[in-house]
Amino acid sequence: MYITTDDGSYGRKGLVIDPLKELLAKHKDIKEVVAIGPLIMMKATADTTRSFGVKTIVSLNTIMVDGMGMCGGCRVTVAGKDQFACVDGPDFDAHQVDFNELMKRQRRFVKEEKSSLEKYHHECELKKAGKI
Amino acid sequence: MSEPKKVNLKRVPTKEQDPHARAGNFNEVNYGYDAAEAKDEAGRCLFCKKPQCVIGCPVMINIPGFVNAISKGDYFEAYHILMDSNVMPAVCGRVCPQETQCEERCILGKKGDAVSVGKLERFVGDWAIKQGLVKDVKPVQKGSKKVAIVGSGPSAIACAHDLARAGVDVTVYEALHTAGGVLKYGIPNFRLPNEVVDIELEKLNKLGVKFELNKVIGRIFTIPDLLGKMGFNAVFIGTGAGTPKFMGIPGEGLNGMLSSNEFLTRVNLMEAYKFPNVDTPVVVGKKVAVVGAGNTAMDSVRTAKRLGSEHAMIVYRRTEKEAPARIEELHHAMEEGIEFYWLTAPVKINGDENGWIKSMECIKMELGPPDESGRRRPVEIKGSNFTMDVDMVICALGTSSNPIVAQTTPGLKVNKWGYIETSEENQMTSIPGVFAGGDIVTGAATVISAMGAGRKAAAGILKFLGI
Ligand SMILES: Cc1cc2nc3c(=O)[nH]c(=O)nc-3n(C[C@H](O)[C@H](O)[C@H](O)COP(=O)(O)OP(=O)(O)OC[C@H]3O[C@@H](n4cnc5c(N)ncnc54)[C@H](O)[C@@H]3O)c2cc1C
Ligand code: FES
Repeated sequence: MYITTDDGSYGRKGLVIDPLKELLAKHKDIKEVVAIGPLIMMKATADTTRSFGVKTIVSLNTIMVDGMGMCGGCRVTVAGKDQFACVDGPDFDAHQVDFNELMKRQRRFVKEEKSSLEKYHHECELKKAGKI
Repeated sequence: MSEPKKVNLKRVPTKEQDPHARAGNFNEVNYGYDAAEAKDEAGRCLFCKKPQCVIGCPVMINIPGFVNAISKGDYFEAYHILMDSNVMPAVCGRVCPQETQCEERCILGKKGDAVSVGKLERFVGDWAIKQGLVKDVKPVQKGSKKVAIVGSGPSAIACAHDLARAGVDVTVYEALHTAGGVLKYGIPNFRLPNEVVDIELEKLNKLGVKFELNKVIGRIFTIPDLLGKMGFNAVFIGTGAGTPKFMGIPGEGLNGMLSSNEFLTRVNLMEAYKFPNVDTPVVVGKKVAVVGAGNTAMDSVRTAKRLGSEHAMIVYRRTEKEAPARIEELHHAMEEGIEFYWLTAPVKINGDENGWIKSMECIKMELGPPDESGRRRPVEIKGSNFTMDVDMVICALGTSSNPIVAQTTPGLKVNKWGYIETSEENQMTSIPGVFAGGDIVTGAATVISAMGAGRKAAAGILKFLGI
């Protein structure tokens, strides 16, 4: 097991793809890589394994909304085709997924996420101060 | 000899919320009849010997019977007559397309206004709610048979109701965290308040129906699991149609583009308009184009307007005449200041550098000869392209079959569009003991037809179980 953290507080300091690159370079017999996590990490993994020509599967659970095929919020372009992560996936060939489109889509609620977080912190402070 | 009854050709109008005020709130548009108005309207009925309205009703409600009971002031009887054929009168009175069903066939409609059957049905449903009749529903002693129901929309509710009343041990499996299907997540409060649906669902609770929420069948358990190790004697599938269609034009991956289902669910079910006091956000554009002209499109565009969009627009490739929305809803949308682009089809959506929609290219259409559906086919007018300034596009083009259950149920026969095949007679599928009904069988239809199918399936299930 190889663990990396951004700040080095646990395991190795750095990104997932650092040990991944080393492993792929060293072990030519690696047949498949599976990446499950934030979009940016899955995209970086896909970019890394592409140059090694190793089959890679990503799990797009994180982009689902209702997760039952009703809303279409989980649509993703895979090999040029419109797919629903919850119906057609959630596992897809990483090298066929249009991550750029997904990464932009993921930013659609940035403003709202920020205000939600601010509200949360504000309430935490009020709680700490015993005001609510 | 008594004088022949003088026929009043004008229907008693219902009061409505002022269009300007209501475009800024989610309160119900129509206030319904009060007792005096209902009595007057019921008095217009000719009580025909061969009532055509009953034939027009998908579940053949004894319409003259309940209308007569209203005119006598016996609402209790009216309620029971309705409940014999329809377990949700307060819902159907509000959302049924009466103008193409019962009311279309009313003899009075030939010379003047048809009897306002829908509004009268709603009056009785609301009266029963106000009386608290739901409280009187008693649980029925359960026998040994267990039935699982997948989904909790109108087809499932009607099926569960009849089964529970016959003493079957019923468990409803619903994918979402709330029961009710489209009645809860799709149809907005200004047409059908959620409380009305909740009271109808409460009836099922009282009857002893169990609800297992947050369970996607086909993922957490499959139909074979339900019939096998989980010990159910039969299953009813009422998962609705569900999967939204998109246009397949460039730019649909942009931010600000979403399906009407996603938009309406965020607002109606998750109450995103209260954000950040609730967790689900919704971004509403200043210039919103809703593509389509069915009920879903009208609900979406009127919702956008209520959430502050300055230009809430309908874009539809045919004309007002072909629009599939109920006439009443179209009319309400017009009153509320919705803008209409008839004979217009989107060809491309343009985005800004951050991936947000900034405009939509459309082309003008004209109506050609009729197609197989009998409607005149829209054809493009070459060179008529123009660009609309929009920052949000909502797709309300209808739905296709949700494949999750069929994919995970070996032997379940579906037609070429993926809808489940059932027997005309009892709604049984290709698998003995597995029944289906509602939109997942017919494709997108209506609340009342889904309920009719649910009841037919319940009768089929009872027979199958030997009850
Ligand atoms: C916005 C909108 C407005 C409408 N307006 C009208 C109107 O005014 N009048 C009218 O008559 N009709 C209207 N309709 C159509 C009507 O709502 C439907 O025809 C009706 O709800 C179909 O009922 P149903 O029981 O088949 O399924 P639905 O109501 O679609 O319910 C299906 C349920 O199954 C659940 N489900 C799906 N998959 C699974 C699974 N795998 N496991 C567990 N649960 C699952 C869903 O979450 C949902 O709760 C409207 C539809 C929409 C979308
Ligand atoms: S998450 Fe809603 S359709 Fe896939």
